[in-house]
Amino acid sequence: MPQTLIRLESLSYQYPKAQTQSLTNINLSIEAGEYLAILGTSGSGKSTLLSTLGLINKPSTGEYFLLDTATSSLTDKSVALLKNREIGFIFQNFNLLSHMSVFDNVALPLSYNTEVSRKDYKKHVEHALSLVNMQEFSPRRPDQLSGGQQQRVAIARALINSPSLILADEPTGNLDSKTSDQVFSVLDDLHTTGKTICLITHDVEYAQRAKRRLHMVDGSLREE
Amino acid sequence: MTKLTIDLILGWFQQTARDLRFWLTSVLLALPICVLAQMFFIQKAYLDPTFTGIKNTNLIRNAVSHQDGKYQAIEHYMAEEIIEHWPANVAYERTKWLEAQIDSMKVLSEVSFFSGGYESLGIKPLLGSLESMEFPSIGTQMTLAISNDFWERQFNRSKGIIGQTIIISGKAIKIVAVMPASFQSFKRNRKTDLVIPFEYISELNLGDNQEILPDTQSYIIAESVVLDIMEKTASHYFKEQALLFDESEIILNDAIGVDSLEFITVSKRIYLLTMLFLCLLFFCLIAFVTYFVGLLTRKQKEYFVRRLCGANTQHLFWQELLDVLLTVLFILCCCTLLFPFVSELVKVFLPQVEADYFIFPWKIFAQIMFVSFILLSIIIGAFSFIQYNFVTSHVGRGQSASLAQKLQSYFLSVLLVCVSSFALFMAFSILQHQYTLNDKNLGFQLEQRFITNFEFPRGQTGTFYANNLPQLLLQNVASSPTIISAALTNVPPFLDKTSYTQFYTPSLEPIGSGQSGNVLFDYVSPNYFEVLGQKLIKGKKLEWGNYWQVLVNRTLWDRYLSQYSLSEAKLIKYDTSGEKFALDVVGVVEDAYLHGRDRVPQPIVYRVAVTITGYESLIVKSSQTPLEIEKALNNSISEIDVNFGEFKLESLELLGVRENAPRKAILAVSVYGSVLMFLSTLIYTFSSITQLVNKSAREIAMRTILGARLLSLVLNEFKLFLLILLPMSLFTYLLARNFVGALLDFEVANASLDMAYIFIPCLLLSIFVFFIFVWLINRKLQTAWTNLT
Repeated sequence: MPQTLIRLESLSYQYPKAQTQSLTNINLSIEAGEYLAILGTSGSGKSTLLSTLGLINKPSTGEYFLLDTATSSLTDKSVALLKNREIGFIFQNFNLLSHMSVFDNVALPLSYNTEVSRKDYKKHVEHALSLVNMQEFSPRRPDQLSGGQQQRVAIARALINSPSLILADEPTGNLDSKTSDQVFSVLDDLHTTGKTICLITHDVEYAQRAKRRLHMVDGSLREE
Repeated sequence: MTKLTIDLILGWFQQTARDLRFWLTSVLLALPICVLAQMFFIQKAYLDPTFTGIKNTNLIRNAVSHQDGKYQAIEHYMAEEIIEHWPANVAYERTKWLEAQIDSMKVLSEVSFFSGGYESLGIKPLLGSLESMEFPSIGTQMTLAISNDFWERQFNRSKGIIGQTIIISGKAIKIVAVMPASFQSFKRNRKTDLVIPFEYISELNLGDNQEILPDTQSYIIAESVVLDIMEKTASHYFKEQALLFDESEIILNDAIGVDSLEFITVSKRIYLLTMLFLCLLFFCLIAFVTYFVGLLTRKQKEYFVRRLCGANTQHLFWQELLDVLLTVLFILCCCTLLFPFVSELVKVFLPQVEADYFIFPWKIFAQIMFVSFILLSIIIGAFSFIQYNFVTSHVGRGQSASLAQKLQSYFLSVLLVCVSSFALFMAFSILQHQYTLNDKNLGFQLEQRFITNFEFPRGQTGTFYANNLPQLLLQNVASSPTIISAALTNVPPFLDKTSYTQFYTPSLEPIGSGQSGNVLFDYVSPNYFEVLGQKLIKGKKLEWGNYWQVLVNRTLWDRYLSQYSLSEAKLIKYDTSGEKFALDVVGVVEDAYLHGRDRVPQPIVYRVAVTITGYESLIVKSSQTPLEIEKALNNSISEIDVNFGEFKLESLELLGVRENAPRKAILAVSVYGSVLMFLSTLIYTFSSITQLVNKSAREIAMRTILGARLLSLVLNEFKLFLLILLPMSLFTYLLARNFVGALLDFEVANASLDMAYIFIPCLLLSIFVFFIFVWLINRKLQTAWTNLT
């Protein structure tokens, strides 16, 4: 029986200076290995939901269980540890550090992983880059890469600590259709290896690749 | 944590290695810090009286009286008044070379005459006691102390020397003590052999101890509180209560063993330079902080990414701390590396200061670096703290910079632009002025010319009559194959030797300044002008034996004698009985800038040397090395008189370099200062505009999609900058005009400050600003859509 990776119970979120709630009474359960797409109009609360799932925002009310652990009681250190080991983030604008090489960008999460020594960086980075076919770009800097290549580097970084959950916020928003196809192929491959993928997209066609689709409307979730 | 630390340090190096602005701002910041540290060292070296053996340095201050620009030790009547009015003592010091007789051996020794206060100053003798030297009484057995060096040299450190006598000026003086090893002399860079109470000067027939000579130093010894009060009130007391002064003032300073005039000159210069470099430090700090704040904004994104990668608050705090520490350490490394270079530069800035003062005390340097480390860490740390905790960055999808933010940023930028425009103008003006001066013909040649000054043995009257055969002396000198030619003068170029006398025109108009008429009067050998390379422009040369004939320089001729023909031109002089007699002017020579290019040539009268009085100098022309010339001079001169042996040879070329040094200093300071200012202005302007444009990214994107073109977007930002620039540059011009007027007194720059001098650099910098806007806004346009979505 598949394990429940994420469980949201009556979760609500309101931004500090906002008048209304961005997420209202969300109840959601995601099993390990699921491929989930969240669709919705702009301002419906998709990104807020994703950042809450990524432990960036703390829920105003309700509870978020990750791997059966109530995240509200976690310390800053434990949250950081979960982000480092269990969650991989992929963004529309890649969020690569321009002053670092591809290698260093991918190795960034390893700095916070106490189980990996510095001498093993190379092995881990090469493996992560091989998953996205970017091994030969290791010494380059992000500004020497195309948009698609940058996104693949960002995916490699998200994968380096073998997280169980991948959170992708409009991963192809800045890419052309051909490159978007390549990125989604990578995500599809990841799903086949057992990773749980939670994806936000506007693109219905790409959302069809996910096994489960949810719609955000005014801060509430509706299953398709 | 070790692994993370290594990663973070490597990441920091990766980031900074490619960041040109970081390097530039750090070097810019390090430069004034190094100059200020060097100034501090010089001041410290000046004020370090360790060589005197004085321990209680807080109880002694140098006292000088100042009147009409002249500084000298305080007169004895002032000392008496001080002792009566304050709980203080006054000590005098004078150094002399004397012949000391130890048993049958005669030794030339440096003697320091010092009037007491040993115990209160903490001077503890190595051997014996200084008690009898504290309050010496005339008529009793005279006592002296010998230096540690002299003790070793002359007595092989024998402990039995106490009680022995040394004969000076025919009087036996008892040795009562050996000075401590730390004692070198009461004057810097001297090696004193004997210390004798000041009161014995008269007793030893070496002059009047009440007389104040240029090398006499006076010190006040008292509690530091009393000294502080005296420093503030002494002049006022002498003027208002004792009614002893009109225009004089008493200055107390910390110059122990240093010539007061030199100390005051150097202190003023150091003070001015310190102020200037503090301003520059402020400029550079603004540029650095602005750059750093921009960097922090970029860093916020990095921290966000790191958080996503698993960094906790502790990790990020550690990174912030490391960033600050590494940045400060990098600046301090720049300081350490740049220090030798800056020292060379400060040598140019302070030509009056001897090379001995340019020390590098590692311990103090480390202390300064430590203080700088703390201060910079606080400043940078504070900015980091504010940035991360109170300032929310909206770069990318942010708000627009408000009008107030723009005004604030542009105002500071414009202020820096205006000030650096003025600094550029000043540097240019000084450069132009100094170039003109350097281009000015001195009126004589420097190459292959040397000046020889004699240390004539002098009698007690202070004058020495060697022989009356200057011709013979010159013949002997010129006969050496090493020397091409030699001439005599008593007003040699670039030296302080002068000789004035009163002359009148045939119509009895006084020549020179004032009613009495004082004009430079130079006794020369007839070949003086050929040897020095000074041109005869009218008439004929002087001849040996024709003592009634004189030559004058162009200035004197043009000013006083131009209405006469050469045959009618005469100079009238009165003899001691009041009878007047006339000297024939037989020729006119080109003006020579004997006291430097920046001094107006004075009227000079040249007459043939009648005799040698001991005041003359030899001008020698030779292509040989100074050592060879010295040898040749020694051989030729000793044939005339063995007493001529003591002489000092100076290269006219080197004196020319020394004459040039103050101008070079002004030039170097102005160019260095303005370049530093200019660069920090550029960096500040670039950094602040980058931040504003980043902040306005969404506004720019919005305007673009509404149809705005690049030029209109640039002009929209630039017009605000111009609106501030125009009134500010006008204001700077008005301020600068007064400032330039003040600088005229120093004759360092040209007077006329045209409006254009401020506006043109401002305009050039504005063009730079315009292009920054074009470049940055154009970059923002490429990501306009991202910034809106």
